[in-house]
Formats: sequence, structure tokens, C-alpha cells
Amino acid sequence: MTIAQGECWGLLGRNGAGKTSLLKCLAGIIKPKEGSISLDSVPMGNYDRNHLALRIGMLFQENLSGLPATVFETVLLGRHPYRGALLKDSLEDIQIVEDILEEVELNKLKDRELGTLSGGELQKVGIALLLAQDPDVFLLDEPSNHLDIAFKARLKTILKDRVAGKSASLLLATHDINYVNEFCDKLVLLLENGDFILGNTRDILTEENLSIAFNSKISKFSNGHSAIFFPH
Amino acid sequence: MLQQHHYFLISSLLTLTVVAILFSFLSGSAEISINQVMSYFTSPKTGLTNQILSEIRIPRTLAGFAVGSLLAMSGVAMQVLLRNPLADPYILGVSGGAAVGAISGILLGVSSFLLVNFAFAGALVSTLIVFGISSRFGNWSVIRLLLTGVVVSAGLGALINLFLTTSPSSSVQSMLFWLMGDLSQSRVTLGHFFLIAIGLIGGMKIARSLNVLSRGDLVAVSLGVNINLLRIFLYFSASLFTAVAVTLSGTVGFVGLVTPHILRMLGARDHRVLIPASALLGGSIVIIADTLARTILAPQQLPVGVFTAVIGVPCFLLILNSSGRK
Repeated sequence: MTIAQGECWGLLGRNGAGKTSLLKCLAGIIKPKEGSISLDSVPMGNYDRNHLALRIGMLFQENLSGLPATVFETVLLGRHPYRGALLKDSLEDIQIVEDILEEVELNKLKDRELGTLSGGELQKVGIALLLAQDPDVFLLDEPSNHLDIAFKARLKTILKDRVAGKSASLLLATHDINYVNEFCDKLVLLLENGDFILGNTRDILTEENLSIAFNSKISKFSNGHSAIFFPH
Repeated sequence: MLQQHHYFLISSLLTLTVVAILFSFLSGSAEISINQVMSYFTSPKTGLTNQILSEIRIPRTLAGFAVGSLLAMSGVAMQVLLRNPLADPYILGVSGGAAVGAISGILLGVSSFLLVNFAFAGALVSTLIVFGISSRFGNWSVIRLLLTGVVVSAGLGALINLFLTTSPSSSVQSMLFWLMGDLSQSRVTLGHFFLIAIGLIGGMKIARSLNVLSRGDLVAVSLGVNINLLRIFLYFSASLFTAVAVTLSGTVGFVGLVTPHILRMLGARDHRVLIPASALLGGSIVIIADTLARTILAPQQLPVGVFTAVIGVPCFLLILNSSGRK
């Protein structure tokens, strides 16, 4: 499987199918038990950690809050791989973060403590952090978690613009069939026992394939332009 | 992000430190005026006043500052390492190890010079035991480390109680020294300040990475931080600092826990500010606490550990209350 520049891939499967583990392998955080992963034809193991941080960014499901920090301070951490001066934060980085906070509608919350945010707002902070990191490969683990329907749609636009703008690549793992259907051109569908099928989203997303993958009858409702999937 | 109020905070803390040092120099059974302190530093050092300053008050004040700085920086490191605001320098058993070492030394009847080495050895052994057990299977999780540390601490605590209840009452007094914290026997050296300087410089170098690690392991790795190396470094430097502090003064409680918290509530969450600010505030708190401890019921001297809590608790609650209302 190859993810080319400018492509948005989906990774769809049941809970516990191994989506997060696959993303962590691709991010170079854990090593795969079999097979190999290369970035620009170079095996992942040959890159040092900081170089990978400049190239690959991942949105995690883990909670960002812990020791206290504000939204702005947290999003600014996305610039960490770019190694600024020790004591001074570059004005450029600060401007980048301000723009991203505006883009994800967090600018009013920028001085709020992480611990006081709602689940959806925290999710936006994680997304903003990833956008500040500005990698070439975006790996997103359940990006639509806790987000309202309007921001889910907006997130799709923001990320697709980023991917198109800098010829980045994107892989989005989710169990939300309708979100990958709207978002991704290509799709990996995880089946039982480590099997998978991949190809163009519209070819893969059939009632038959989905019913096997989710072990439950899934129906498709289509009006010609768009389609939604729902369980029977 | 570093902002104007961070520079203001650091300057305020520098002022507080100077005030605390002067307060300590001027307080005690012998009356010493500020002019006498000034002339001590400018003119030849003879006479009783100068002798009191150079042999008693200055070493004791410097020892207080060193203990407070080391414990506060160690507290910051432990809190980031365990990603838990309740962590303090003693949570992983360093103080228990030092106390067991010292008490064994007292029971063996070693000299006071050797006793310090016993305490230090005890602290290092407990550090290595906790690290060895928690990292033995290669999965170096925070929960595992915390659990090992707390269990080893509990074991050492039981051992201390066993020693205390079975020892002759004549030696119990000197054993309590290690458990409560007391600066009257402390011998501070240039080496202690060298260590503080190394802590500050090293801390500033890794401060940005600590900011990232505070947000969790996964985020830190994906932002390019070598977390295994960083955590081992944090663990051993925090343990070393705590061991040195405990060896100097016994177990002075509360400073390591409360100093980083007070500063975070005052807006110093960035480790580039938090580390130097902790060194200054921790040092000042112990100096002030010790000055009160040795003067408030004079000529009776109380253990400084009691007063760090007496000052620390109301300060902490006051700031907690006011920051909660905002």
C-alpha cells in the first residue's frame, strides 16, 4: 500500500480492529511485528526522531490535559520540532498559532486552561496542535470524536485544503462510515482476522463489504449525489 | 510562551530571595544590624558579630537556600516525570532510603561525617532499586514507576518505624533529625551551589522538551522528543538532587510539592520560567521557615520541616482559593 502526495486515505474498521496500532506504526512510535514502512522510499528506522516530527504528525485519542497549561501554550508546542531559540518564541511561530486558533474557532478560548474545556474543545486543541506542527503526513485517529456536525464539516475543509495546498498526505482512522465516505478518496477497510481490502472509497463502500467488516447488516441510502450508511 | 509577567515574576522572586537572606542574617539571639551585615562584606572580618555571621548565620542561610532550591527543582522534575501534580521529591522513596541509611549509621555508631555518606548511599540504593524493578521488563510506564516507588517507600517507612521503636531512646532524638528536617547540623559547600547551577543550566536546556512531555508521552514522541532518555535523565537528576538535599538537612517536607504549584498558579507553567522560579522560591521558603523555626520559640529551636508546612499550607490554600475564583 502506498499513500501518495495529495491523497486523503481513510482507514475504516470495527472497534479494536487495530486502526490506532497501524497509525502508531506509521508515525514511527511503535515498530510493526511484520512488514516494513518507508517514507520517501527510506525505511522509517533510518530517520531520527526530530526529523520524523517535521515530516509526520499524528492526532491522538489520548487526553492532552494533565499538568496545567493554556490552549495557546499547548498549540504552540506544535512548533517544537522547528527548534526555536531557547528563551524566545519566534514571532513567526506565534503568528502561525494565532492564525490556526482563528481557523479552528478557538481564538476566544486561547487563554483558557485545558482542564476547563469540553471534550469537543479539547479535540479542537489537539487538531490545532497538529496543524501547528504542519507535517507532510497527517495521521488522524478518530478526528471527529466529540465534534459537532458543523465543525466536523469544517474540519474536512480545513484538512483537505492543507493537503491540497502543500501536497501532503493524509490517513484518517475512524469507525464512522459516513465521515470517510465524505472525506476520503481512497480507503482501507479492515475485515476480520487481519484481512483488509483497499481501493477507491466508492468501490469499497458497498453494503456487502461493510456488512462483513462490521459483522452486522449495513444498508446504503443514496440519492444519486451522496450516500449515507446506517445499520439495519 | 514567555511574556512580560514572567520577567516580572522572576525579578520579584529575586527580590524575595534577597529579603529572605537578609531576614535570616538579621534574626537570632544576638542582635545584628543591617549596617553590621554590610560592613561584614566590605571590611575586615573580625569581632564577635562577624564571627556569628560567618560561622553560624551565613552557612545556615546558604544551606537553607540550597535545600529549598534542590527540593523545588526536584519536585518540578518528578511532577513532569510522573505527569502528576501530586508528585513530590520523596514519592519514589529517596527520603526513606536516606533515612534508613542514616539510622543504620546511627545504630552502628559511625561519626557524623560518615553518617552523611550513609544517608546518601541509602538514597541512591533506594533510587536504583525502584528504577531496577520498574524498568526490568522494558515497559517503563509511569504507573509502574509510581507504584514501585510508593510501595518501596512504604516498606522503608515500616523499616524506619521498626528502628525507632526498637532503638535505645538516647539515639532516637538524632534519628528524628533525619525524619523532620533540621538545618542546625548542615554543612553546606560550594559543591551544593555547583549542583544547583548545573540543575538550572541543564533544566533550561530541556525546558522546552519538558513543556511537551507535560502533554503526554505520545504527543511528546510525535513532536520529536526522545522520551526514554529524557525520563531517565529526569528520574536520576531528581533523585540525586533529593538525595543531596536530604543528606544536607534531613527530610524537609512540603517545599518540593508546593513550590511548583504556587508558581504554576501564578502563571509560570512554561518550564523555562518554572525551573529558575522554583529554585528561587523554594530556597526562599526554606530560609524564611528556618529563620522562624529558630527564633519563634528561642532559645528552643524547632525543626525547619515543621515550618515549611506552617508557611506553605496557608500560602498554597490562599492562592488556590484566589485562582479558583477567577
